[in-house]
Amino acid sequence: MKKKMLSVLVFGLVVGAGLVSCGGSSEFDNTRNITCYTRDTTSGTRDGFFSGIGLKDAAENNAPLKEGTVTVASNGEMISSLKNDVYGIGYFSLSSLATSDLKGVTYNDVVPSEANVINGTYGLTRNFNYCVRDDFNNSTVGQIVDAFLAYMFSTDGQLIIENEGGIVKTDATYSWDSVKANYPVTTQNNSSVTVRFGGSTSVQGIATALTSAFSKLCGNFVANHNHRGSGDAYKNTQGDNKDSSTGLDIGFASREFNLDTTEPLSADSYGLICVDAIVVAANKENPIEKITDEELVDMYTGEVSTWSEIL
Amino acid sequence: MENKNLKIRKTKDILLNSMTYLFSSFGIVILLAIIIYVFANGLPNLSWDLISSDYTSYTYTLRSETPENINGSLVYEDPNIEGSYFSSKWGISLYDGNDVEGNAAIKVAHIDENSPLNNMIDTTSEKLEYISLTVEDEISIIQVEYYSLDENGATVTNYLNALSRRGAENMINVLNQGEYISSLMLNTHGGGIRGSLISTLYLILFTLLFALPLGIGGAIYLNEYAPKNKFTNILRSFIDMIGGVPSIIFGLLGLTIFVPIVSSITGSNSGTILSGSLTMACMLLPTIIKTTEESLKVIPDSYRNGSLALGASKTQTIFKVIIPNALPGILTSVLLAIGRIIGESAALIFAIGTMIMDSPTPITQGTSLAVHIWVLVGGENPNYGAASAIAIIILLVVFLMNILVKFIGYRFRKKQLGRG
Repeated sequence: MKKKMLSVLVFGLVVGAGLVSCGGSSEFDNTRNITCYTRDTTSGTRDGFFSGIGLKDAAENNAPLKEGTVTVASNGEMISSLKNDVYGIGYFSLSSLATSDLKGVTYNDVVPSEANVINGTYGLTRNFNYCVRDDFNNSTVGQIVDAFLAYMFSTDGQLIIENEGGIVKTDATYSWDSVKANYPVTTQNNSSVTVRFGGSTSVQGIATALTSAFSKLCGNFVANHNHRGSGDAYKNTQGDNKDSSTGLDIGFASREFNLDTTEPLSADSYGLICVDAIVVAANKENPIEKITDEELVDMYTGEVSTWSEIL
Repeated sequence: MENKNLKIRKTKDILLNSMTYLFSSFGIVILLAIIIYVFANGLPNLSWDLISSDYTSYTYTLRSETPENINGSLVYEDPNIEGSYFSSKWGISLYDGNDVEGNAAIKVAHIDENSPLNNMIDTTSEKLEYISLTVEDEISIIQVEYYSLDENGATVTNYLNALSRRGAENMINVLNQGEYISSLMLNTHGGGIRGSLISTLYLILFTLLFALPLGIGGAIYLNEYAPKNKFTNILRSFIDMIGGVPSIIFGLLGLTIFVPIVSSITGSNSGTILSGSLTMACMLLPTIIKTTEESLKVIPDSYRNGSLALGASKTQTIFKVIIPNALPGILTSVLLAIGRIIGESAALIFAIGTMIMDSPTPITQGTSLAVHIWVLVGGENPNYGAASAIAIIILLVVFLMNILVKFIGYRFRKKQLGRG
C-alpha cells in the first residue's frame, strides 16, 4: 500500500515538475544565441526580405546564411515557429502581423505600418505581380481573364485588395459598372468554365477574395486556386509546365519577374497588382524594439550570434 | 549487513515499480493532452454550418435603392445588443465576429424590419433581384455615396469606403455618413467541409470496393489453400512488409502509376479520388488480409471436416461455412480500414492532390478530412481552430470505429463460448 502511494506521489511530482518547467515564464536571457528563421528559396517573401536588407546573394541560395538558420516552408510555419521561440527572429507579410500575436520590429527607425508604406518611408517592401497565358486553349477562359484583370484594377477590385491587406498606391480611375459593357463574356452563363489561378501563396488571400466576388459578376465561372509559390507564376503560364496538369491561366508572384533571364514573359502579359510590406518579427517576450538592415545582415550571416550584441 | 541489502533492494523495487507506473500513465497523459488541445481549440468552431456549408465563399455585390426611394424620415430603434454597433439611419447593428473558419469578419447582429437593407438590389444579377440582409450575414466591404455642393452650387458625389478589416464601429460610422449604398459586399459562409466529407465517403467506398475482394481472397488463399511451405512463408512476410512501407511511398506509387492510368481512362488531367482509392487499397491490403486470416484461423477444423463429410466441396465449404463464420473478423478489418482511410493524408496529397472541392465526383480531385486539415494549417494564414474542429470529427469517428471493433470482438467471443 505504502509502495503504491509512494509511486503515485513520485509520478505526481514528476508530472508537476514537467508542467512547471513548461509553463514557467523565465527572464529573457541576453546571452542566448539568436535563432534566425527564413523562408525556403522559392519564396517571394524571402526574395523581398534579403534584397531589402542588402543580402541579395541569400535570396535564392542558403550558402551566405549562418549555420543553424531554420528554413520554414510557409508564412504560417514562420508565425508558429516565432511564437514558440523567444530567441527567434524572422519575417513575413505585414498583412499577417495583426492576427499573428507577434511583435513587429521597427526597421531602420520606421514603424512597420500601412501608412508608412504608402508614404514611402518604410523600406522593406516587395511588389505583388501577376502574369497571364499568352495562348489560351479556350477563348472563353481568355475573355474571362481579360475581364478579371479589368475588375482587379477597378475601384471595386482595389477595395477588395485593400481589405485583404494589399497596399494600393495608385487610385483606380473607373468603377466596374462603368466598364463591364466592354466585356460581353460577363453576361453569359460561365458556370461550366474553370479558370486556373496559382503562384505565390502570399497573394492567395487577395486572389481568392477577388475571384469569389468576380465569379458572381461573371456568369459564375469556377475559380480553381492552386497556390504553391511564386516560382509557378511564369513556369505554369508561359514556361515549360503551361500545358501540364499544373498549368495556370493567371499566375501570381510576390517578387519581380526575372524578365531578362529565366522568366521571359511576353509583352503586356504581366503587371503590378499592389505593394506588400515585409515585417521583421519576434516573440512578444523578446525585448527587441528596433533593428537596422546592417544588424539583420550580421544576424543572418552569423557575424553576431547572441542577443546581447544587438540589444 | 543482510538488513541493509534488503533495504537497498526494497528501494530499488519501489523505484522500478514507480517507473512502470510512470511510463504506463504516460500514454494516458498524451491522449488527454491531444483531446484537451483539440477540444479547446476546435469546439468553438464546430457547428452544423461548418459541416454543411461550401468551402468556397462567394461574394454578392449589392446596392441600395436610390435615396429618393428610401423613406428617409424613419428613425430606427436601437436594440442595444452588447458588443454591437447600431446605425439609427439604416436600422442595422453590426459586430466583430468570426467566419466559419474562425477568421475575423463583420456580421449583422440585428436588422430592423423596415430597414432599407431588407431590399438590396443584387448587381451581380442581370434581372432586378432583391436580396435582404439577415442576422449573422457577413459583410466585407461597404461603399457609400454622400452629396455636397461645390462653390457653383452643383452637386458633387463623394465616396466613402468601409473595409471589414477596420472593424464594425468604423463600418457603422461610414454608413451613418452615406445617403446611398453604392456597393455592399455580402459573403456567403465559406470554409465548410461538406465537400471534403463527401470526398472522404467516396474514398472509403471505392477503397473498400477494390481492397475487400483482394484482401479477403488473399486471406482465404493463405489460410485454406496455400500449402505450408517456404513459398507461403515468404508470401506472408512480403505482405507484412507492405504494412511497414511508409504511406508517403504509397503516395509516390499512386502519383506515378495510378494517376496516369486513371487519367488516361477518364480524361482528367490531375489526380482523382479514384486514383487515391486505388492507392489506399494497396496500402490497406495487409491490414485486411491479416485481420481476415486471424478470424479464419480461429474457426475450428471440425466445421471444415463436418462440411466436407456431409459431401460439400471445398469451395462450397469455404463460401457457405467458413466465410459466414469469419464475418466478424472481416467486419473488423473493414472498420480498421475505414479508420485508416479517414486519417490518411500523406499518400493522398500525392495521389489525389490538395484542391478542396465543393461538389467532388470520383473522377475529380477532392480532399479527405485529414488532407483538409493539412491545407488549412499549411496555408499562408494557418487556421488551427478550424483544423481542430475537423480533428474532433476525425477523432470521434476513429474512436467510434475502435469501440465497434471491440464490441464485435466481444460479441463474437461470447457467441463462441456459448457454443463451446
